[in-house]
Amino acid sequence: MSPLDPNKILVGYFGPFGGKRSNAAEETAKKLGAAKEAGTLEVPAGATVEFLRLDRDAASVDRFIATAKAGGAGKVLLLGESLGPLKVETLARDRGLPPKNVFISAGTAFLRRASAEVLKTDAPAAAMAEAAGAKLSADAGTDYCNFVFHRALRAGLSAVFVHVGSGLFEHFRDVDGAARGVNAMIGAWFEHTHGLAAHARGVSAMYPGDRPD
Amino acid sequence: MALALRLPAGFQPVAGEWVFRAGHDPDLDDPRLVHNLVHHPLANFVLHRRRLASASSAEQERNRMEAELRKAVDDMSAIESGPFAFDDGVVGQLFAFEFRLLDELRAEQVHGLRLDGVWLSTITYTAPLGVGARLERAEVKRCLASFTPPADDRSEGADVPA
Repeated sequence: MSPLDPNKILVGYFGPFGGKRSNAAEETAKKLGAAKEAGTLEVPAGATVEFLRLDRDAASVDRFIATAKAGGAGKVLLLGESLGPLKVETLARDRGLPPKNVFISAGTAFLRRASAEVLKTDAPAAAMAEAAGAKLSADAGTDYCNFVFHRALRAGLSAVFVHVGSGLFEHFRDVDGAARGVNAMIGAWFEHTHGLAAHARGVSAMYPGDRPD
Repeated sequence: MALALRLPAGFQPVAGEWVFRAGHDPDLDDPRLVHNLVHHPLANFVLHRRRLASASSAEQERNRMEAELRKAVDDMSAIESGPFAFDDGVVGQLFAFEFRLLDELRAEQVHGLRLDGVWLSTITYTAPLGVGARLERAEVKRCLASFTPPADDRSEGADVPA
């Protein structure tokens, strides 16, 4: 495994499932990809940003985790869709593999196993939510959103899950707003990774381009 | 070091930074030294301040910083970590270590952190080891401990969300 580099962020996003043609998370990721190409992603110079699609199955989640670790991604931002506003998830629970059928999974949403392991993100979720005008949430659900979030935290990755609004029947989505919000969250995450930033500031100040002699 | 800037209404400070770099070391003037063929690393202090968006403590911030750096910094050694007393009585935190800067060159870094209201100040000393003059660790700590923020920062913070 490569050492995790806080300057590398891997954005994982779910593609369409359950018979849908699109997923608001994927649409948001595409907008963020365009922002990356345009140089408007709120990341510091030298940071690398990669995108990887997730499908709603365990093998895809395993591949994603392995890729994040092998690539040394020090930040993992996961995007999924849900009804409701843009929100940053803070907790992931070990709820086991969700049912294959998305409707059955949704139907189990009210079941809460009290004994399930709960892991907390180490990302600055409050600052990220504030930067985006988003809400904080302590329940990532019972489906693959929670599953991949838990697996990522269990694997020792610095991960956070963001739910973007799915809209109704793939309409009434604010993908531009979601992308702006997630971009602001990424900026806040880097801003609050202050240990690395302080280290980098000190090291870069050792090599002045404008040496005062 | 006094600054004045009359900003229009509606602009609030969120972060600030000062960099203090050591002067040129005359011992390194020998043109045969490879260090003079490139910019040789110079010791520096960086003072960075930012307004926290959520409630925290100096210890929490140091723990977070330490965790990040232990993951990211190559070949860390001589680690010193814990509470740090500033001259004005505020107890902050210190995190210091040596690390590999280049294959043949190590450096040291000493971070002093303190929280005054919503303002987190991080003073970072970075210096190469074995190149040029080196400050003793005690002298670095004396410098870090001498930092005091503007007095009005300390009263700010009652509105920090928990």
